[in-house]
Amino acid sequence: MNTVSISPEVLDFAAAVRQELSDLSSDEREELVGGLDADLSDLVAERGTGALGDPVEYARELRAAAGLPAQGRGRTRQPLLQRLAGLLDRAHARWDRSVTGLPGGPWELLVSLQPVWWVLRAYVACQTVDIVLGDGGWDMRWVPSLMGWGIPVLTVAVLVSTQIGRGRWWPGRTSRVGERLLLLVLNLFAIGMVPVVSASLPHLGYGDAYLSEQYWSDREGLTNDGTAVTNVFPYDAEGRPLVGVQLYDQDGQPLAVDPDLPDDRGEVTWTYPWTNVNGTVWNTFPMPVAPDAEGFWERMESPWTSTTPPQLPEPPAASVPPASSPAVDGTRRDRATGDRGREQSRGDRRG
Amino acid sequence: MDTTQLLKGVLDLAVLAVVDAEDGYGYDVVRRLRAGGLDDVGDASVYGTLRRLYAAGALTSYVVPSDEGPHRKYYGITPVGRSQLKRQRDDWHTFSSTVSRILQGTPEGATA
Repeated sequence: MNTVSISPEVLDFAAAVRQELSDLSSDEREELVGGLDADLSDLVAERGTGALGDPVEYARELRAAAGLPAQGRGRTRQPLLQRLAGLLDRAHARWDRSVTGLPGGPWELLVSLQPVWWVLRAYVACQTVDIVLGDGGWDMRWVPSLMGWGIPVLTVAVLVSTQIGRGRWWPGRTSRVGERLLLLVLNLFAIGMVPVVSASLPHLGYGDAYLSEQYWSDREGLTNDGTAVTNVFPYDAEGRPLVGVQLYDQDGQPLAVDPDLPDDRGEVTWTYPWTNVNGTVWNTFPMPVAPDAEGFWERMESPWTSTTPPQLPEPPAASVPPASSPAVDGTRRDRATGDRGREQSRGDRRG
Repeated sequence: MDTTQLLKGVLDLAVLAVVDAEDGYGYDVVRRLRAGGLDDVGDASVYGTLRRLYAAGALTSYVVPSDEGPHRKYYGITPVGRSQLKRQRDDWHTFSSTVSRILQGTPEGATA
């Protein structure tokens, strides 16, 4: 064969193609590529070396057109994608076989409801974005707020979802594996977010509780780490329980508890406040409590003269560990002595 | 459906027809198919088809030596090839008119 006039690109390409067909017998290979040099030279002469393309693809096409089986081991990324596409197709076919023709036609019903799914997934997508962007955290409303853009964004989302569902915009009929996988993942994500979103939406049954919570949190009252404080049990420095302690905060305001806040178990403890010259005070502790539910109505009228009057509750502990502070020493009760007097006056100025 | 799918079905027929008109070597057949309007046809597909038809006995081949360039492998049609061509040509006419009729019967835009 006269090889002088064959260009190096052609020779390289032909060699690569031969390499791809190395699993064939030499006879078969020769049949396929015998005239390859000449034909490729014509191709290059007519359309330039750029027309040569990928030798792997060329060999695959050549092999397929010649009716020979494809190469055994998949080597490059392309066979993986093809395998993936085949997997998707087979899974899809198997699903179709199992769900079509069931009595009652549940799958056909679902298919006819497909537009509902398009709207629902757009709604879920908008609500998910709302959660992520954190307008109201997990407290969501029926229409996503999205900083005021809720309604227009929702409309656009429904439109996009519908067009995708109809295959008009993307991915279209000639769908590649990557796009199909992406669509599948997005759909699964939307399905997964449906229960999450529906759990976060306000439920009609709990509407009252929601409102009440708002109402309660507007009222004043001591809270400890978020839970309501309904009674306080003071102890002195030695750890002995005290009765009749009146508390004020840094601004001189009485440290009052809200009598109507339920505790952790949701029960309202009926407490009976102390009184001073001005009326009832809610900052003097501990407050007597109703002994039990019995006699409730009687106590409503006049608690102290009823048959089951309120009683001082037992403190949580008979005694607590003694506490100390360098600002105070053991003889603090004695304020008349000189040192104490100086400390006292210093304390006064600080106060 | 893009033309790749359609082409696969009729490439045998097209190649046979081209070679029947006049013997040709690989790229010559490609060129003639493209000139006939089949722009999408791939070189490798044509070569592979030629080889397959040759293996099936529908084509014969011979090498023509050349002074300027590489030797060329020419393909010619055999009697077996001719009868296959006739059969496939008739099949094609029947098939394409059937499909045309169906397409005219359905309203525009409806998917099959």
